[in-house]
Amino acid sequence: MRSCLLLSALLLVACGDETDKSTDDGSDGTTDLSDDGGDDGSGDDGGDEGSGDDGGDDGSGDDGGDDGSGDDGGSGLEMGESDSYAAMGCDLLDSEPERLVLGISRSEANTAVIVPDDETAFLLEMPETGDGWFTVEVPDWMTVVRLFTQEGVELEIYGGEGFSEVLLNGACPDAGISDQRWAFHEWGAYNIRVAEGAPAEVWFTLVKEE
Amino acid sequence: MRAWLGLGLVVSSLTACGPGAATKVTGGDVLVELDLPPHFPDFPYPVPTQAKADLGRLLFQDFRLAGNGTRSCGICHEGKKGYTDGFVKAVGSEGGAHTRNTLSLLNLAWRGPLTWVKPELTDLYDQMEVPLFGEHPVEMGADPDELPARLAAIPLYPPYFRAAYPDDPAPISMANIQDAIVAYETLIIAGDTPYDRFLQGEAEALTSDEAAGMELFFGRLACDACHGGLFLNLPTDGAGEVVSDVPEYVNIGMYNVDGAGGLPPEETGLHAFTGVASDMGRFRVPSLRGVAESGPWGHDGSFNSLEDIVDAYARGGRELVGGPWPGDGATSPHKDPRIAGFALTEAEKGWLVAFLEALTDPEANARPFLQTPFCPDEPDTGDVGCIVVEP
Repeated sequence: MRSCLLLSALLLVACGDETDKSTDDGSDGTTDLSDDGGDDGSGDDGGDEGSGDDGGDDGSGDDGGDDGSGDDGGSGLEMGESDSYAAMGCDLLDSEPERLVLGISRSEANTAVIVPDDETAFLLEMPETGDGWFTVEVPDWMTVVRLFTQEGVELEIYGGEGFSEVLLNGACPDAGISDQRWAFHEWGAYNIRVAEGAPAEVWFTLVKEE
Repeated sequence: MRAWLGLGLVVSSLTACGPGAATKVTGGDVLVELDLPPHFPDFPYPVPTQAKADLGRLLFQDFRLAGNGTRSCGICHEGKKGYTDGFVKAVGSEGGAHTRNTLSLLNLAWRGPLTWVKPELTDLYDQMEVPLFGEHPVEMGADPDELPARLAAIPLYPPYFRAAYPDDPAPISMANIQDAIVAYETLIIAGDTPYDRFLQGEAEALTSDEAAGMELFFGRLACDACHGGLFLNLPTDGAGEVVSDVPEYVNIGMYNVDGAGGLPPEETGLHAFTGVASDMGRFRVPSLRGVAESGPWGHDGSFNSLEDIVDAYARGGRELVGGPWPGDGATSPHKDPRIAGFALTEAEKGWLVAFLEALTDPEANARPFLQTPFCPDEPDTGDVGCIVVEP
């Protein structure tokens, strides 16, 4: 049911998307989020821990081999742990996501701000071309945040440090949701880049670990 | 250094305390020895007693003032962040997002209007009730009916209150809490920037880039039309003379969300209080002292870098192509006519930013008096003089 609800949302999105940003075409009506749209030649399979600018998006189709998952358009990520935080991310698939139009550059990131509350999911609207940018305000010190988004979507987080590779959310592996742990030593505002090549609308949420 | 000997005396009474002890309290009516930077105006508040300043320091830095113990004044106005918090928009103790960027407390004693949008709010004592007790939004979430009793139950505090208010038979009161915090806040003074040293005749205090930026700032670009005076927050005339002792409220063309000069509805500036159309997007001109450390910038923190701000001014207003609030601020009918744009090379932009960075007092954050006296949560900090907060 959870996957179906989410898929419905994505199918609606796909209908209105005339760009080639997403290859999550949903054409068979059965696609789930694990159809990561990574085969668009963007060379970005989203599996690079989300941390670095891999210099991708060059259309080279070079997946970088960063996580060994390859870029087969399937669920190439390693399975993550099915813990309570992963489950919270899965539960948020059932919630009505809040829409957020992303900025087109880092200069605009602070106009699109998310404050984590552990109970809101977002539908990030990508620019027509290029990367999308937003900012997360982390309200605590020494915090580990779990970031969940569609498999294949590359997030680059400015500040903090990765605590894990990008994994498949082990609590709902069929939903096609990636799961990564990110540590923030200090509270504050952190810019996030959503790499070009992501679907026109990207499901995203985040949960703080206690 | 010489200017801070007086504040150093204040420090001594706290740092003498061992962990958890904190019993050495400065008594009597000894005043803080204010030795202001020589080019600063007279101190506009009564010089506090050392005991009151000590108490104010404790209260300012103590997380236990927040209703849920997660915020202190000092953590949201942190020295290394230019006495701001580093957020785009502040986040309250209960996790709620605010609508404005946190303002710096540097040189607060000379501030005048204290907030982004309320000209009448000039009294620190009154203003403090907003972060302490405000509910829309919650900042610290303190309860004025409960806080004095809570502090009275903490062994650290009664001796300090008695010393600070020796003639008050019931010194642990909300009025005294606010009074002591005001006393401390007014002592957050920074006046030893490269620019200050230049003003005092040290010709080599500014690098060539900083000096070139200063020339642009006060010359061709006339930034001082709004950011004038010693604290770079007062309007000046064409000759650089300050023409008012209070800052202006200016729409700098940050937004034009509806083609009619509108702002994001959550924060519209003076307009929200006056209802006057021309007040749309007008916010108080902030001091630029310490500006390089106080980002993100703007009333809502939506500027991500000093370069972005300069670009917006050069363009005659900011254009947002993406994000929730696209629009061209340069075409806002409410934009101040002085924000007319200018030509600027990349080199000149670098100089201008260099000058803004020269408005930082490198020692402002290092003064012990401005540090928290409480031990951090992490063990092994090696700070044997800090006060341990019992869980």
